[in-house]
Amino acid sequence: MIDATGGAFKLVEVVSSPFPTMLQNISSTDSWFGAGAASQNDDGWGDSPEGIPETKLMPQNSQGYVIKPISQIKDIVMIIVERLMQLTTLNEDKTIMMLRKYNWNEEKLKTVWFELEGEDAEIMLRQIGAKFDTKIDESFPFTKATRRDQNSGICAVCYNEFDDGEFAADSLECGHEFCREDWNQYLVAKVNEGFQGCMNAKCLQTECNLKVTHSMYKKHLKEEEFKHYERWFVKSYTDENKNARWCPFKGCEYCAIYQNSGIKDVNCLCGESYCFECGEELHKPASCENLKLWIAKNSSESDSLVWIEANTKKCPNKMCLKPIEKNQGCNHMTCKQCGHHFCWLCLGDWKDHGSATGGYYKCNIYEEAKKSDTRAEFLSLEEQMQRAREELNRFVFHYERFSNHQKSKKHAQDMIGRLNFAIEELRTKQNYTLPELQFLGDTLKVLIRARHGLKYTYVHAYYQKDAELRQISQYSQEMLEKFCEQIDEMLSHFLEVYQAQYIFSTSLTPFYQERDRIISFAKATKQYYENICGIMRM
Amino acid sequence: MQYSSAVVTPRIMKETKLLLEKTPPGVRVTVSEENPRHFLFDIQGPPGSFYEAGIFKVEIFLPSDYPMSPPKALFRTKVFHPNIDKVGRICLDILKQDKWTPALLIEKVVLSIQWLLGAPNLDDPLDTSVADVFKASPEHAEKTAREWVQLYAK
Repeated sequence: MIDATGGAFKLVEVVSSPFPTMLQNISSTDSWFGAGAASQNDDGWGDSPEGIPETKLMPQNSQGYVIKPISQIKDIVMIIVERLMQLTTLNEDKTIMMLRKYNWNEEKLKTVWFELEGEDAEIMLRQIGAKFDTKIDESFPFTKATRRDQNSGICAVCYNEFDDGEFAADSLECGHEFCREDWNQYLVAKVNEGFQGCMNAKCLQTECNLKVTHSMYKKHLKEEEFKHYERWFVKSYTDENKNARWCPFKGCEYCAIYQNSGIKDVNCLCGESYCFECGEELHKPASCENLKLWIAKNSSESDSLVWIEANTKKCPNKMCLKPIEKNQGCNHMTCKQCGHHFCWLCLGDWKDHGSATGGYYKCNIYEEAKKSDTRAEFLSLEEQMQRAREELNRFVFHYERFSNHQKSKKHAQDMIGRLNFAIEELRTKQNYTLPELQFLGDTLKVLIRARHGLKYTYVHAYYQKDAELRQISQYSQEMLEKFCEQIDEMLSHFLEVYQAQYIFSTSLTPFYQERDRIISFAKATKQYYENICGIMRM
Repeated sequence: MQYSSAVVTPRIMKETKLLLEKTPPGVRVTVSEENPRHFLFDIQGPPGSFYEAGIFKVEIFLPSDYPMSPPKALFRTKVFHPNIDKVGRICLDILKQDKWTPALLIEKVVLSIQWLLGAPNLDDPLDTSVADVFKASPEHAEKTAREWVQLYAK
């Protein structure tokens, strides 16, 4: 459990406090934020940071995941390896290779391993490079020259004589001997080659199927070099494993390790939240698929194309066809590109226009074309533009709201500093206790999370095809927006009023009244947020 | 021990000695006078192939971290072959870092290059335009290859 008064956050052990790093600053000596909250449910709202006993490295908790810094992953991996070593009775190196073969999926490995019988297990081990394939001796007799019993006492790589020092002979299980110095140089070269080169390195002998083992790296690399190797080793666990994911936020070195399915939201110890499934920022209630589409839409040029389609016409000069936007003036257009004169409405040559066709601001040709069916093609162009405009408007509508909530969320986050200061003032000058003031931090957290969620309701809504469902969620959306505005205002107001201590120093009642009001609003907001997530999941 | 380009390692000495004393058939070797890591080979085209009777000059250079890194090899004779491009670069697996192993020898590299001449690999071409000719019309490819041998590899 986090020490409520000590203030020393052991980040490693904290799970699921959405903004610990930010809120830590609220009070440097007092952890107001942990006090009295431990009994509440840990639901990702950050009101109860649960500690994990240091002794249990892989605890099962209600979250379904644990968060670990890069420095601890290695230990976790070794615990898994050890556990499986006992089951498979393979040595450490072979167990690691088997685990990698099955993408670190322990269950899969267990199932497969215990179904393998006799010879099949041997074949499997040979395939993954954990056991020497003696057929290689037959197919490539020259490789035998470096085998322990047949070599001439000279290293086939550097041609130095084997000795007991830097040229001491060493080999993998295959018995292809090379000197220590060369093993070191080879392994260093492999580590520098990168992840693939390092984790799939083979024996120095050509055609030998044996993979370089973990213990060989340990034995022949110097301390610094081995640390470099361990980076790739850890990467093998985190990147080849579906149950691990690095925090996607910049500069964060925490990794989430999944333990049971269901929950997709990860509250990283760096203070950010993300979706375990797709690795993007937390995007509830929008689905991963919709988010992907949304991101593609926002970053692609296709939307500028939609805009161009909706707002421009192509110069009718067949040799030019530049898109032209008309932002003011009459229908007489002169293309800047090619100098062609044309009518904006009917796109005909301006030569055919004049007072007879209605002058500069009216085009009879266009009016007639609109009436007659003969210019169907012309009309369909109009319709196309209209549709594109509507689509664009719809996108802009959702996008504007999406980015507005982004801004509001930022605004709420900016309030943390002020809140921090106010709490300290209220505590020291007016003697309110920290548990009494805790609602301020909690409410702000609710506000931030709700703003964040609102942002993504617009992604969801943009892709919602069902009109009825869209209407239902629109209603909840509106309510949530209202509540957010409310508590935003209440908090700002509260900070303004109560920071000036002299106003209410004589009577305490209004403080508690206001406090209760804010708490109930925060509760309602949280409820609406959860409702909206429920509705939108339909 | 750090290998550098100026230093000739025991391995290189031994390999050079072996190459000079027991040169494989169909191969002639010259070691550069300025740089003992620089070799020039005359490789005979394999009998029965499009390249028979041709003598191909191939340059081989041993990088400073040889044998941890593979030797660098380059054709100095123009050759019409799908795995050798216009500037003489060679597409051969053992010349790449991930397939090279330190226990391989220069001799092996040379023999593999000779073997490659006799066995063009159309699945992994370096010069696609040459590979296209080989695929579309093997007769035409043979004719051009033999012409080039007459023109450049004599």
